[in-house]
Formats: sequence, structure tokens, C-alpha cells
Amino acid sequence: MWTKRRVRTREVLCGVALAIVMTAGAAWADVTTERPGSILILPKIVADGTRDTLIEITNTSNTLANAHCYYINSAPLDPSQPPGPTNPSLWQEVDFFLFLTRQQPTQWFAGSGRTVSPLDPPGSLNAGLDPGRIPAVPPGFQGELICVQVDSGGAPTGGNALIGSATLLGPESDSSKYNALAILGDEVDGDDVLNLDNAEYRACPSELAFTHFAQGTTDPYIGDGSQVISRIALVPCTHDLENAIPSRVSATVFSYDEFEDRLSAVIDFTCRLDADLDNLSEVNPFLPTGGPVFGTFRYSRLIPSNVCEGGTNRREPCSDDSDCPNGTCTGVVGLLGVLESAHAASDGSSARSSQNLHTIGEAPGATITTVAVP
Amino acid sequence: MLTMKRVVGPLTLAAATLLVAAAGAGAATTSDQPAAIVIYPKVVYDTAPVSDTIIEIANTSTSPIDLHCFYVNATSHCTNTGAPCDTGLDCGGVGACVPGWAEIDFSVTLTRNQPFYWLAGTGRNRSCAAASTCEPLPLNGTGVCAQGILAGQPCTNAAQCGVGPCVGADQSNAGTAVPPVPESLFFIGELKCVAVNSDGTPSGRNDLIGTATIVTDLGDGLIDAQSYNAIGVQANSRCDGDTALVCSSDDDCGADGPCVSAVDSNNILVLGPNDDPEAEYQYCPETLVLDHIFDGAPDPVGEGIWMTDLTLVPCSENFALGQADLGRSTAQFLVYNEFEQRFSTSRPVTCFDETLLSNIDTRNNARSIFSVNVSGTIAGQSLIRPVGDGLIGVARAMKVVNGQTIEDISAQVNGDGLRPVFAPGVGYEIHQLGERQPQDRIVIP
Amino acid sequence: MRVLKRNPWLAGLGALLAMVVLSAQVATADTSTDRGGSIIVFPKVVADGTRDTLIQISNLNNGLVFAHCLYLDASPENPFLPVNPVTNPRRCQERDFFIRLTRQQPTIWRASTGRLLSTTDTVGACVDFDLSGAVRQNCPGFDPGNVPNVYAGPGAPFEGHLLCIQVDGSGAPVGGNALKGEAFLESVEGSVGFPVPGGDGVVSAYNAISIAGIEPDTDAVLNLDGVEYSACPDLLRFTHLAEGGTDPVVTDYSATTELTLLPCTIDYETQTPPQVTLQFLVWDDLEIQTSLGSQLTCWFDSFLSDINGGTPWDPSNSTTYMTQVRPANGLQCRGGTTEYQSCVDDDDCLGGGVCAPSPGLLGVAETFRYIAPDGAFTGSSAINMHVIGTRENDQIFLESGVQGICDGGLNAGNPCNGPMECPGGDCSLDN
Repeated sequence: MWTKRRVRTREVLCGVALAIVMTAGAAWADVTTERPGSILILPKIVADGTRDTLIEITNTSNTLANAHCYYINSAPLDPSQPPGPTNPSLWQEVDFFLFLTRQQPTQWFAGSGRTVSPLDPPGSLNAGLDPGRIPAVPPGFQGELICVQVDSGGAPTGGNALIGSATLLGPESDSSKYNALAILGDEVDGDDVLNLDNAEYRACPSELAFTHFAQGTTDPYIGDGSQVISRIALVPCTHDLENAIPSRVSATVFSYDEFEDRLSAVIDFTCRLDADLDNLSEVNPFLPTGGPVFGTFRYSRLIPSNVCEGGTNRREPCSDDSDCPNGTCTGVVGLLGVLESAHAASDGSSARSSQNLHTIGEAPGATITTVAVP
Repeated sequence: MLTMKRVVGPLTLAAATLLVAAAGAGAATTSDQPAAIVIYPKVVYDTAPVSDTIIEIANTSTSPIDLHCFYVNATSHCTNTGAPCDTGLDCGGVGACVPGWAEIDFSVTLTRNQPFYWLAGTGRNRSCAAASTCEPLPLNGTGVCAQGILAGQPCTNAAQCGVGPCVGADQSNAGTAVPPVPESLFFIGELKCVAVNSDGTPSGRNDLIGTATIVTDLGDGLIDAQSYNAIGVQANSRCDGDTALVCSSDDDCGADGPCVSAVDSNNILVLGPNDDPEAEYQYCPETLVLDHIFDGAPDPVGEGIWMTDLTLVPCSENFALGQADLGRSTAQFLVYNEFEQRFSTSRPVTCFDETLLSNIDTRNNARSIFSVNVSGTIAGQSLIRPVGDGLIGVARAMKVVNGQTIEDISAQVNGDGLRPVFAPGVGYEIHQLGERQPQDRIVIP
Repeated sequence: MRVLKRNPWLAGLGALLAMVVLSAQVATADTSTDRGGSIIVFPKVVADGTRDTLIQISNLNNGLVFAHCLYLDASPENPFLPVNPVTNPRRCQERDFFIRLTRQQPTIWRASTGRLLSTTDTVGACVDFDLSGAVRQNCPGFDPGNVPNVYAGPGAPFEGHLLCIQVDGSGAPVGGNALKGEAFLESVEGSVGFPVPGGDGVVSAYNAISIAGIEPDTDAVLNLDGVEYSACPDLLRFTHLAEGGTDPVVTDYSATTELTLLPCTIDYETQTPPQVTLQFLVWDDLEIQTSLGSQLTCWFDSFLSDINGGTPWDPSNSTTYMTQVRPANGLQCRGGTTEYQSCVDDDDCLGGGVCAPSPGLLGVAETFRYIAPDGAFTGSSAINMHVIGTRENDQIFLESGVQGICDGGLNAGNPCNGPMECPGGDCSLDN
């Protein structure tokens, strides 16, 4: 039948197009979710009373591996109010150290942390070699975790030994899991500034891409009355933890439906973004289009803008040098993220799933300034 | 460049030089920098009302440090009963209340960057049978497994390693045992802690900081807490080629370098001026400067009056013989009020002296030069200059909120002999001026 | 025949003076809490209706001494709401006055009422009186000057710091090192928040932090660089009980500690709220360390339990902790119109500012006892912090009251208040 053939052709063409788009970047960014790295980033950590996060980190090498980990709390200043210009994020950093023996996995809950105790009975939650004292995050925590592989003296090192994952638990029995983003280290110089420039560490991607159900669309399996609601958590690659200066990010969103129709928007945030897909900008590019059958599935790309390097608008997003008096529009802030989707039935039951975002291209130049260790 | 012209006469210049030199005269004793000797001039334990002193001490370095600590028990006792006392009235009018001087010493080991505390009344040891919040000893710092599959893995004891020892590079409190103060009813005295090497000889490591908090439960939901920083005496380093020069690095010595520790291994710790080659530690101050509110002065903020007590301890002490044969001094007081009017008095200090300011010169507090009745103003500045051995001390200002006047307090002190209990109170450090030229010595066993 | 009697005290004092003049000492580059200084800092001054502060200052010299004192009001814009950097920032409002002290003179005043210049003082007591609706106070003794009141009622509390600079008669800074001070923080009778028997139950005291003058020049920029004045410390450390932990002595009570910090670099000229990123390092008695950051804007005053929920000071891990606080290592614009913004080099700083390290810190800590979970505070005690190291790049910008023109350099021809605003040139007053 004509319709089927056309659909099949379109499916093939879309698939090919997708493949072409995804390979067009040629240079794969070495931010990966399936290989060990020297920097792990978990963009979504929640411990707010209804949800908690089980964090798992493993040393994949045959030698002792140390890590200097940083929680960054981006909960709003007033947790009872929605975030906004008058209710900015805390951007509160707390850090601690992990010590992992060869091939050792470890885990802890963000909401309760982990203590050092040789008396944990076998089979208990904290049984095993304690990786160090891990503080509990404060109530209402929403943020990220960054772990940097370091040597015994606390200096960053490029061992590429770490993998990790986070399981978001709750509400109630619901859960979803995603892999930590790992950044490979090359010639790490051991100072407090980690350059993601393909020389010291691998570069951050220049784009993020993900496929997803259109926001609010009906789940094709659950059927009528159901909804798929997705929530994205985005963090910049650039972090200044020593000076506690949150990064400003501006990202252009292109979202395509199955008819290649494109919607676009710009999203701006500082420090971290954690919002439903229909709450990112005034124009929502993630809406369903093309009716109930087509247009329910989308392919979206996020492209972060550069930021001013030097000058009076330093660290502000820019499009060209004219936006940067006395500076240049060459600063890289980068972008990483994770998407969590809730498939909700009409009776209120739901199930969540998380997915890592795909990475495209590379944008060398992001930096992570860690806290100086005495 | 902004310019201003000033006429600087010779007298002004001399005065300016004097003043600059006076202020800049070396480090001296200090209450806000790490040191090799820390002194807590006032340690109190009492049962009525319940009062105890939280002694906090910390090692600011990344290497473990050993301390040799000395309590000086300055509690007076009745000659007839042996009970602690304040005045002869406590002895039933029969015995005499004789000041005491007895020392007990103990050892403490601190691991790297470790804050440590104990209560004067209960001490701290392996069993730690005191408060439920007292962690038992030893507290092992983090070491690493020396052998086996867990080699290099952090550990706190050998059992965690499975095979081989947990090598903590001496990072353990093993050897620490802090006794309670040697009085069961009432204790007053001082504490001195000296940084030592593992063989007990003095060490020149300026790594110790300390704070003491005297907490008193006054009942009826009223707690009094008074904190002061321990007084630190820093160890000197001197240029090897010219021992009259104190230095902090080889660069300070130039051709007279290198810069080496001035602390030798004998048991006599010499405190003296910087240009004295024998001085292993910084000097005690020439003059103590105590700002205070005159006793009996009404509180400008609210109800009640203020009373201040002063605790003085000598810089010199002989712990080796356990005798108060050092540490004798006469404290000369020069008191200024807000009219720039000046009064003076003096008082002998042997071993330890704690007294209300208005009892320094008289038993009648209301007629003391330290009382508001005599001075007429609220604020006072007292300069305290020791003649004999050097002195250091701490002050405590207390509010009397029960309606008593200074006359009432005087009657109480002189009448039934009971120690008045004032609350709430504050502890604060005394300022210092100048550089004491004569040496002070602390002799340790 | 008149017999001249030697006064042993004066003889001793003369000997002291002679010895000090002759001794060749290197001026210390450290701040101190037990020595006199040319600048004294009271990091925590509170007068908010529930607590008040007694300020005591003395002249250590045998000559007349003047001081230029500056209060900085860091109370929030809306005193009835908590501080919020966006919606309810700290006022960061400066108010200054001058005092004079005769030789060895001590003086005292209550922050909320100040102290008036009066010749009709009551002997032996300070007396409150109403002056146009404001409560002021007269105290006996040589009044040091007209010391302003900082508290004007429930809607106008004061919390902030006081800084006094030794000056000469013309108001120019001098390095006499004649000043010392103490502050007594007291609860006010019947005040809400400190309901203890009698209403007077919470008092703490700390010593003012002294900054020695070494070779100060007379301009309105005080360089705390170890050359003009002593340098500020690199690190602050203090030991304290765990946050919310049981007091070891009075085990029915818990303890909480409030930390107060101010930056060493303060611009009173522009009153731009200083901003410093704070880095904390916390050790427990098992030497396990945790670190975290926070922000100082204008003035930092926070219970440890309000910093990241107090988790680094968990009483279940340790009874006592040692906490270190330092400024972050990044650079900030100093002076100019983009003051305190982060920078990489001087080009990032407009209006003649320079790119300099973060300001150093000074502070005090105050511990309160209470019956958990929300009992009234009692048994307070304050301590000065221990200092480690020095950082020689802090500056205090006073109101110069003088405006010149940049003579040469990058900002030639521009108005200026000091040489730092004329990079590559001088600020000339010859106009």
C-alpha cells in the first residue's frame, strides 16, 4: 500500500538522516557514559524528602584510586518558592574524598551519606570497605556531583579509572537510573584548574542530542489518558568551584518531529537547569506536532553558546565579539545533561526512566577550577 | 599621588619611633597564633554550683605532635581539715586556709590537624567513663595498609587490612591519658602544655592552638559559659651564625644562616627577648594591659552591676622539683579612669592568683581603687607590671543580676567567706605591651 | 629641703621606654588580639533590641590620641525578613565619627545609644535619656566625642562591624599603635529571643583585632601589606563543639556556634558591598576532613547549622571540630566601577580598578547553649580566631573627601580619589 511504503521510506530516510546528523561531527567528544574516565559528572542528584539518589562509583583499575568529589546544591534560596530571578540557586558546594581499592565498587545514598565504620555487618547497607566519610546532603538538595580522580596528595591525575551511575529513587517505589558522564584525562598537570581542551582532559561536546516523546503526548503503549512528561537536567562543563562562580549558559534548542519540522528556542540558565521540557522557555519547542500518530516522537539538539573571554562581560553568553567589550567571544562553557521521563497512566500511576543524552562534536576550552587542597 | 605635609619634631619622632617599636616588638606571647607552649591560666572545676572547664587543643600541622602537660593545683586547703577553702572562715575559724601548689603531669598525642578536648573534672582516657559524648581513646587517625591486597588502602587498625599492619605514621593518640583534676569538690589552677619530641625533650614546633570554656550550671535554666584562648608561647629559630638573631627562614639570616631551631634538648625552657641567644622561646610581656569595667559599676546595657576577676600565673615554673620556687612576682598596678586620673597599688603573686579586682588592694571592695565608688567612671584601664618573674593572665567579667551592690558583695566576701557566684560572665584575654628583658624559665621533668 | 623621691613605677616605665626605643625589632606583619594597634576591628556589633554591644577602647599611649571610627551597618534592607542576596540584601551602610582619648584613657559606650559629649555626667553610672525620641546615653569621664547611636527602634536594628583607625588631629592615619579594645555582647532585659531569668543571661566578650601600623602614609588608602600596616591573615582557624551536639559539661544542653566574618578589604568610599567566596575546611577528631564553600556579601554572620545544613559539623561524628576558613584563590577587581567582580587581569576592571586577589578575612565565633530543639539561648561565649600566615594585598579605602585629577597614565584627566584609580599615573590634588 502506498502509505506504508511511503512511511517505510520516510522511516529509512529519517533513520539515515539521523545517522548522518549524528556522525556529521566526525570528532567524537570524549565525554562518555560507557567508558571509565578521570572526571565523573552526575548532573542530577536529588534528596528532597520524596526522592533520594543512590550513587554508585567503581574503580576499574588494578591500583588504588582516589577521588575528590564535589556536591553542588542548586536548590533555590527559598525552597518554598519556585526558582526565579528573585529566588536564585544556592550554588553551595561541599566536597569530600573517596578512596577505592583496585576494582572496588562503592555506593551511598545522597540523603544519608556514608560513615567510616569497620563494624558494618555483612549484608548491611554499608558493608564493605568504606571509601571515606561521605557527608549527607542537606534536606531539599537538588544538584549535581562531580568526582575528580586525584592522587594520594589530592592533586588531579589522569588515571581514567572511574565509572559511576545514579539511581533516582522515588516517589514511592518508582526509580530511574543513568550513567555518570565520564571525561577522560590525557596529560593531567595536577594543578587545580582542569582544562577540558583535548590536551589535559578531553573536551566537552559541542552539542547534545536526544530523542524523546513530545511533552505531554500520549504514551503509545499505555494508551488513552496517559502522558509522557520529560524533565531535563543540564549542567555546564565549566565549573569554578574555588571561587563559587556559577556559569551562565545560553543554549539554542532545535527540536525536530518525524516530518523534519523544526521548532527552536533559546534557554538560559545559571549554574544548573532542572525543569520540565515545557517549562524551559517562553516558546516550547518540545510540543507534539503533526497529530496523534506522527509528531509524537522528537529529536532534539541543544547547542550551547560561547561566553565572553576577558573583558567586562566575562563569562556572559555571547554570539560574537561585539557582545564582549575588551574581550572575545571564544569562551567555552559546554553543556552536559540527563533526561528523565515519567510515563503516567490516567489512574495516576507512573513509571520513570532516565536516559543519558548523546554527545556530538567537541568544544575544547571548558575548565573546572577545583578547590585548592592544603 | 596625594601628598600631605607634616611637621615632625624630634619629640614626635622619638615618640613615633617608640610607639612603632613598642608595637612591633616581636611576637611575644600570643593568644591567636599557633605556638609550642600553650597556657590556660584558669582551669576551674566545682561541684556547687556545677562547673567544669572544657579544654580544647588542636594540632594545626599535618604531622602528629606529642605534648607534655602540667596541671598546677592552686586550690587552698584548710590546715585542720584538708578541705578546699577560700578563706579561713571556711576552716571553721580554727584552721588556716593555705594556698597550695602541686602539679600533676600527663601526656597527650595529637594526630595531624586533630582537634582534641577533655573536661578538667573528668579527664579523658581509654575507658572514658564520663559523659556519654566522650569518645574513648585511642583515636587512631587514618593510616594505610602496608601489605596484601589492601596495600595502600586507608585504615584505622590492622584488622581492616587483613594482612600486615595499618601503618599510620604515628598518627594515633596512643599514649594519651588525661587524668581528672586532683580535687573532688573544688579545683582552681592552671594548665600548661609543652610540645615535646617522642623522647620527651622539648620540641620547637609551633603547631598548637587552644581554647578553654568554663561552663557553669546555675540552675533555673541559666547556663554560664566563658571562653578564652590559651596563651601561646612560640619557639624561636635563630641564625646559626649569629644566635642573637631570631629568624623564620634562611633568607632572614643571609650569610649568618641557616635558620635553625633554638630549642635545645635540656629540660629548661628559656623564655626571653629576641636578642638573648639563650632564649629558646618568645618572651613574656613587660606589661599587661587590662581594660575593665570598674567593680560595682552599673551595666550601661541593662540591670545589674559588673565585677571583674583577674587570674595571674607566672611565666616561670619549676615542674621538675614540683616546687613553687619559681614564679614569684609582685604585680604593680597602675589604674586609669576615664578622667585620666591615675591610681596605683601592688600585690604579690606566688604561683597563682585569682582575685576580684576590687580585692586586690583591700578587703573592702567598695573602697578599692578598682571600684566605681572610687574611680567615678565606668571604664578603666589597668597596667600590670610584674617585678620578679613574668606574669600572664586572663580576665573574667561578670554581671551581678540579683540586685546586690558592691557593698553587699564586700560584706558577703568578708562575712561568711562564701565565694560569691556571679553570672553571667565573659572571659577575655589581656593585652600585652613591651618585651620582658629578664629570662623566664619553665623547668620540666 | 625638698627631697625628690623616686617613683619606682615611673622609673620602671622610663626604663621600659628606653629599652623599647633602643631595641631593634622587626615590626610584626600579623594581626593580633592582645597587642595595641593603629587599626582595631570589632567584627561583631549587634544592637537590635534583643542584644546590645558595649564597646570599650583604651589609649595605650602617654599622649593624646585621635581615632576615626566607622560603623558598617550590615542589617538587611527589610529587618523583619531573612537576608536574601537578591530580595533582601544587606544594607552595607557606613557611618563614621571621631573620638579622642587622653593619655592612657579608657572609654566605653553602648552601641545602641552611643555616647554624648556632656559636662553634666552622673558620677559612677551611665544614664539614659531621650533625645528627640532616640535613647542616648551619658557616661562619666572624659567623653571621647559624640558617638552616634546605631539603634533607632524595632524597625531599625543594627548588626555589623566597627573599625577604628588611629589618626592625627587632621584626620590623617598615623601608626601610633595606641588602640586596644574589647566588645561585650549582652542580651537586653526582657528581650524576645533571650528569655532567661532576669532577662540578662547572655553575655559574651571578645577582643578587638589589632592591626599594627608600621609605616603608614597619610592618604586615604590604608594598605595592609606588611609595609604600611600589618597584613591580614591567610587563614583563620578555631575549635568548637559540634553543631547541635551535647555540651560535655551541661549535658541537657546543646551547643550551636555563630560565625561572623568581615573582609580585610573594605571600600568605605564607594560603599560597594564586598564579596568574598569563603572556603571552609573542617576536621573532626579522627582527622577526617570535609570542605565546603559559602559566600560573604558585605558581612557574614551565620550559624554553622545554616551552612549547608551544618552537615560538616555533625555531632554524631565528633564532639569537637577544628574549622578553617579562607578566602577563595580567585582574583577580583579592586576599586573602579566593577569592584569585587571576578577578573583575570586589569583589563577586566573598569573605572581604573585593578585585578587583585580576594580579600583576607577577620572574624569571631560565638557559641550558645540551648535545650534542644528550640530552647532559649543561654550560656554564650565568644572567642577570637587563631590566625595563620599573612596575605599582603588588602586595602581599606576611606572617604578621602578629596577629589583630584589623574595626572598621566591610563585615566589621565579623570577624577580620582587616590593613586589606585590612576594606573600608570598619579592622582594630583593641584586643581
